[in-house]
Amino acid sequence: MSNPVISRRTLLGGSAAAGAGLLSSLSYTPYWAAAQDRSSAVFSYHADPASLDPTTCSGTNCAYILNHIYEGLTRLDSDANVEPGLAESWENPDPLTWTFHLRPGVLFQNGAELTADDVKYSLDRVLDPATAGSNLAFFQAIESVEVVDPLTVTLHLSTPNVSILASMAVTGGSILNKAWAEEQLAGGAIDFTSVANGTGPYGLVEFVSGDRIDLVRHESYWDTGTPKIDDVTWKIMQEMETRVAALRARTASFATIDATAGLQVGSDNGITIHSGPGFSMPVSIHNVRKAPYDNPLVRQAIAVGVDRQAVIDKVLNGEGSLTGPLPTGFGNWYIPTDELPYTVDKDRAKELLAEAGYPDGFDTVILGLDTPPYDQVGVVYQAELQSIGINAKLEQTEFGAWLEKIHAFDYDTHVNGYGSVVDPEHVLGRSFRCGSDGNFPGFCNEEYDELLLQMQAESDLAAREQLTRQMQDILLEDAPFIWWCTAFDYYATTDQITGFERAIHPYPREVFKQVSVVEES
Amino acid sequence: MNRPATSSPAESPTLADAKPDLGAVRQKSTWSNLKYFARRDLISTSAAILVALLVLVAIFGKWIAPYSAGAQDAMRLLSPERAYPFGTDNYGRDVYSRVILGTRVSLVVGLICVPIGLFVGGGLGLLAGFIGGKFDMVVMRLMDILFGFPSLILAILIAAVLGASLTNAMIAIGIVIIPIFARTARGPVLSVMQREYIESARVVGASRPSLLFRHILPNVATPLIIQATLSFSAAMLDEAALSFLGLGAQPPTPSWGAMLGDARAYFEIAPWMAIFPGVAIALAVLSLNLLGDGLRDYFDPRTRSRL
Repeated sequence: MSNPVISRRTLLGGSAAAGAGLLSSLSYTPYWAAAQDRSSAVFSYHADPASLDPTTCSGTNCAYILNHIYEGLTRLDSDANVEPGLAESWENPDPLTWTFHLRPGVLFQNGAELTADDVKYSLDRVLDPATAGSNLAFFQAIESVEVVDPLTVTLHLSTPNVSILASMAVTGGSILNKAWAEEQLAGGAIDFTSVANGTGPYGLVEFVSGDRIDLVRHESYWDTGTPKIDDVTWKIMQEMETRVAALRARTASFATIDATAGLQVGSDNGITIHSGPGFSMPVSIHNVRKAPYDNPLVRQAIAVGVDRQAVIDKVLNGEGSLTGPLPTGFGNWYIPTDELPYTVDKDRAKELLAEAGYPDGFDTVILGLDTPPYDQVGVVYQAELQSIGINAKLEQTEFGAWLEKIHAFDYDTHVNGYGSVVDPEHVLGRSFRCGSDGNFPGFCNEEYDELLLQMQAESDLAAREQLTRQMQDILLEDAPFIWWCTAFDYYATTDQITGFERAIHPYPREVFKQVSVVEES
Repeated sequence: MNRPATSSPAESPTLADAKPDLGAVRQKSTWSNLKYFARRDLISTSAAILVALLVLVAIFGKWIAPYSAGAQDAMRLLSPERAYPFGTDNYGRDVYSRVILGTRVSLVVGLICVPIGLFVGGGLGLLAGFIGGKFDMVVMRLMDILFGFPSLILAILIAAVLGASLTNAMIAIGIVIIPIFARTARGPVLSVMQREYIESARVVGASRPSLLFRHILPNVATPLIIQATLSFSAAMLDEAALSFLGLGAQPPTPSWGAMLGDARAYFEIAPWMAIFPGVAIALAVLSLNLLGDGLRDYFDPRTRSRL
């Protein structure tokens, strides 16, 4: 790796040390990067992906890394509009038919050429209940996938769904190589912790869980000129302090950080903070199946009693905006902040609680997460509930235990977050449709589901925006969630690399595609 | 503190050597005893005063602290000033109040964990030494296994398995300090068992329980009590470590260790968040350790003569 080499050179200087520097650098150099003219960079990331299976990948941690390895039929440009990905173009002759024309000459990292068979195989895998695809809800409208010719594939839908185009851009819709996957399956199941084969800009060299993921440039990547760095090491550093230290020591040239770390390293020489409104939203989710949260008055009391600005001020250093169910800044879909019904009124909250039969409040347990910023959101949430007379106890657990409890609906109210959204339907449908797998609160509203069906089928943008707004208004009124705010997101780069641009983007992107290493003078 | 050990009719040789001196001290009143102790051992005395202060703060903390532990009313990250002598944290909570209220958490941990270790470990060690044979071997090998783990690693393991909460952290720490008590108890039991007065008691037909509790226990109580003082500070330190790692006290409980953990991310912009709980931990642990050392010196006849 060249990063230790750079620092060592700077440190030792002089030709006398060059011999020693070369020797030690050789001992650190992986076999695949033996050539000295290769460029490399270390990306320090905060969490391990659970697996490298794009179909079952859940959450941003695997999406970030997998979007460098795999691609879907479409992708999102930096303004979050759908643009061609592996499909060069598409037609929608009727509401139930979508025909995609594949980009010719696209190669997988193992050298195989992309064909319509690969697309059918991958989408069938998503739809197969046995796969337990994490984004299944986005693709459920697909009834069948038809291979027309090697470069044309047609999707037949069971219900009209215009969000299918955006769904193709999420990690769950990544295209695998059919022959490769079947070959891997011959040995039982595909061991996605050790193999990967996509069409994306980087190929997998090695995944050491909890430590690092080594990536190497896909030499025959179709989008010529990218990526620019030959070797990328995706280094897992869970602690913020470790990532900041790595940036300062220049053993990482890129890192995900947070608001607090941004304050700390902001003035450091040679480190640039890229921050701005993002799409991630800390939320609190009530279990509406369970008393007292089954009572809308209780939920409304909480909605009017908590001060959402407190999370922005105390957790995010003031860098965030109030938000409705869709992240503020997301296309034309979100509710403008001045139209949000968020007037904090603690007395009104207590009145509503009394009306609901809890004049003295009640005891409740907040299921919290122990990772930032959600741990801090939990602390503020607890204090906010206390302030309207609800005696809340905070129980913070690690992600695995937390997830288990949520899937078992074993909680009163919990702290969560979302933000990877490419189409409004992905949030509004998945999280709130009656009986949907991602419906954590257990929310069920007939009128809402009716609007959802219309919205899925509506191709007229203005009408779709109108329906989206109506649905959000129902959610705000019923208040199964507290949507705390839309947070800023933060990246830090060192002076070792250039070309990184933080896009205002609702979905993890192949952040390394445009980045290059600064030449040493 | 009672010293029943010295009231025994017969002593181990070392205790017997010092007997005349001990007897002389015992004849004086408790007050002059204390004065004697204070004059001879200034360090332990100051430590004892500090410990007494800690206990007072722990008991009356609610009335001393100007704010409640969870109140997020102040501006966040204020540096120390008149209204907030230790500054405020990232939520706008008063660090001074939280350090004061954290005293109770730390002391309660000691008060709960040490008895677990003392009764379970001390009891096992006592029985192991008394019964001997296979029971002794099995119990002490188990203790060796527990001892084999670095105590904090073991505590982390137990706390992680049980789930993160202050209660579970206390259980974990209690388990971790069991073997030291077992060892502390077993050694003296073995040596006391060889003494003539035990033999005489046996000859006159003392029952086994009476042998154990009337003749042996009083002679091993002193080292156990000293060990309890030392383990008290170890338990507080372990709790701080577990809470620092997020395996102990849950927010917003004002645990010193948890406060240190929270302060990490803000260390460069708000060092007071870390300094004051850090100083509190250091002072509490140091004063308890010094007190434990002083008590050991006081009760141990070999060092006693130097006092």
